[in-house]
Amino acid sequence: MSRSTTIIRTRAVTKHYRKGEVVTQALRGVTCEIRRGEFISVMGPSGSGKSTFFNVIGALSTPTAGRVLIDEVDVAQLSNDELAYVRCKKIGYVFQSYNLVTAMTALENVMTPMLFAGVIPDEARTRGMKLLGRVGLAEKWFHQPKQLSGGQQQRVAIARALANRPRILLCDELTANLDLQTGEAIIQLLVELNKQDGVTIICATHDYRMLDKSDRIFWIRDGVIDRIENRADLKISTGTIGGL
Amino acid sequence: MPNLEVKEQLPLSFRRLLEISLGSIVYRLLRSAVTVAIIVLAIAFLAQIMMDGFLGRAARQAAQSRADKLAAYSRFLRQVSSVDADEPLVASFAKVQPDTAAFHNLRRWGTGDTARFIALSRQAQVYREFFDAIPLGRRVLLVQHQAGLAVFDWLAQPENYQSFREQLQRMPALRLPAGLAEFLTDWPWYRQQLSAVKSAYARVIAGVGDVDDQLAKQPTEFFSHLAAIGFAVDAEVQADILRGFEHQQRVRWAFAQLKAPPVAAGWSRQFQEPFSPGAALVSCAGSPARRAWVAQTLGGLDTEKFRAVASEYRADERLQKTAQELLSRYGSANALSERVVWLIVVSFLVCVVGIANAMLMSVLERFKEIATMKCLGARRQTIAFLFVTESVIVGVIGGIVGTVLGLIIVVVRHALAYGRVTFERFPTGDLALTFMACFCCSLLLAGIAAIYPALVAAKMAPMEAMRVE
Ligand SMILES: Nc1ncnc2c1ncn2[C@@H]1O[C@H](COP(=O)(O)OP(=O)(O)OP(=O)(O)O)[C@@H](O)[C@H]1O
Ligand SMILES: [Mg+2]
Repeated sequence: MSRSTTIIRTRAVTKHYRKGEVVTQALRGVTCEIRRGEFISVMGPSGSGKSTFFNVIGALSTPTAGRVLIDEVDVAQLSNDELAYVRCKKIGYVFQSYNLVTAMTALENVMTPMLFAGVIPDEARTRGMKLLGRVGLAEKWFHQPKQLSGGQQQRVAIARALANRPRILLCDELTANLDLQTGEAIIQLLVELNKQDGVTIICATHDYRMLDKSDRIFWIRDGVIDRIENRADLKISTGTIGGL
Repeated sequence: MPNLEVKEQLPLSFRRLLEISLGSIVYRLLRSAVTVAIIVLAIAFLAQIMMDGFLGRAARQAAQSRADKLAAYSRFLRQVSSVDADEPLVASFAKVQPDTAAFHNLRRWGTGDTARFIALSRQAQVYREFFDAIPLGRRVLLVQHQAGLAVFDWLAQPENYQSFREQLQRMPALRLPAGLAEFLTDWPWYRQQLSAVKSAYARVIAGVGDVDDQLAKQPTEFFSHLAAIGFAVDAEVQADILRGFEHQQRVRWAFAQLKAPPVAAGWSRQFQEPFSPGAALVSCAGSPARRAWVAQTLGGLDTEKFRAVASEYRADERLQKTAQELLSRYGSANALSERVVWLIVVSFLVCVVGIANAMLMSVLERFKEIATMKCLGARRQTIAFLFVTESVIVGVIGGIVGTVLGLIIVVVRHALAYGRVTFERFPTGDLALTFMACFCCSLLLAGIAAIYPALVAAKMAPMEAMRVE
């Protein structure tokens, strides 16, 4: 089976939100290609449409116009159950506000996507513990979200996103709420996933440390991709970032 | 050239659904408790109403059979002192069971075919009830002012029967039990038998003599004498009669004490209430002071006997009263009154709306969680089932607690109101069935109430998960 090097492809994607009379044009024609194994940072001011872009490429909402292809499959063609399968197996999501299930412990949160995927509970448990260990929270597996700090919740959310070994990881505002050290560790983890496991990582961020690790940076402004920079170009243009 | 192999997502196992739902119920314990309380109230109400009928009817039968035993003596007295009128006679023949003394009496008194006579009695009873149940206006049109057995005498005349048939044809809503024509051809024969039985019966009564005197002296001989002249009494009934007679004697004795001039005259002065022997005896049962006063006033009273008779009398009075009360309340058929049905319907509606509202609030409050679950790969059905399961679990708990609560309330209420007749023929089987029915009702209510909230949850867009307030 020949594998395309492109994992996500969008063509002239627009997304309008309608609330009564008011129509917000969150995306206004986004065309891009993301290659397998890339590390992408998405930057842009607040309200520019980053989260909306993630929704669309993460098969969470259908675009108003245009096409989204994940692994060359048109998302619009998929049934509800097939969409559930794609969300479960192919993509991991880390949300801006973590979105842990409050009634579940950290471990149960991490296990949930595996159980949706039909993994037997025993295996889900061992895998869940391993993932929690990887984000440094193994000893807090029985805590409920409200007993965890913001950073810890975010790490649980990352562990959960990795549960079904997705090929794509979508992170919204990943390091925004983390202290310097934890932020560093998380970025390290993402880089590891990217380099060792070949996971395609797409991150919305305001964190300049992240840019240093990215292959490409998408600058979004007013619902369009303003420009796309390669890391090499970025170094030349700013000079000091990364400081290596 | 698709690289991504896309399949349909698998359904979540039932066990896992249960675990997640339980977890969420426990997490939101207060809200769940409120929902449970709503169901408990509605189901306890239903259970209470349904079980009330079963308990009441069982208690009525128990009280009735005990009251019947108590009344055996006075019934016997009536039977051996005068022949019943036609109506009660037909009614008692219609009830006769083979191989009882009453059946043998009838065989002896009758001149013809006993089986045929009884069959006709039953039929007469059916038609009699039919005519009695017709509204007055129509009955006047059909059989003029005739009532009871007189209807058949009237119908037996051909011209009357003719007009009855004509009238009946104009009343298609009236459904006459079949076979009236045949019954009427047999009617003259039945009439003959009836009067033969009555006159034979009257001859028996003439030979009875003084009942109380005989019962007091030689009860066994008296009953064999009765059997010899053609009036047999079942052994069991004999015992009841004797017991009733002795009781009567004791009560008479107690009444005689109370009616003695010093007591009867002094009573109202002493206790500031009008004197009547019955009420006085009842009050003496509960008051040692009154008994002491009676003993003191009379002098030489057998106080122990007096106390025993008084409490015996009071117990009997209470039983009679209870039996009457139960009869008036639970005498008629099982049907629930229209008002009660309405109350049940309204309470169910309130219950469904209450649960639905609580579930909907829960769904709207947890939109982010639901959307997140969808992002993690939950199917629409899974989300819907999660909420239905949650509601049904709440329904199960509410149903069990509600039914048990209803049962306890209704049993305690009956025990307080009617005493031990409540437990004499305790309708365990019926109550168990009611329990099951109420339990199913609560499941149904919870299930129905969850449908709309579950649909709302299932339709929620996964995109909502990305929203940040
Ligand atoms: N569900 C929605 N309904 C209506 N308007 C929406 C909705 N979601 C987003 N928008 C609007 O779409 C635009 C883009 O929003 P989006 O959340 O994509 O921005 P963002 O780049 O993620 O911002 P931030 O950095 O603050 O998270 C905004 O103007 C926002 O108000
Ligand atoms: Mg955002």
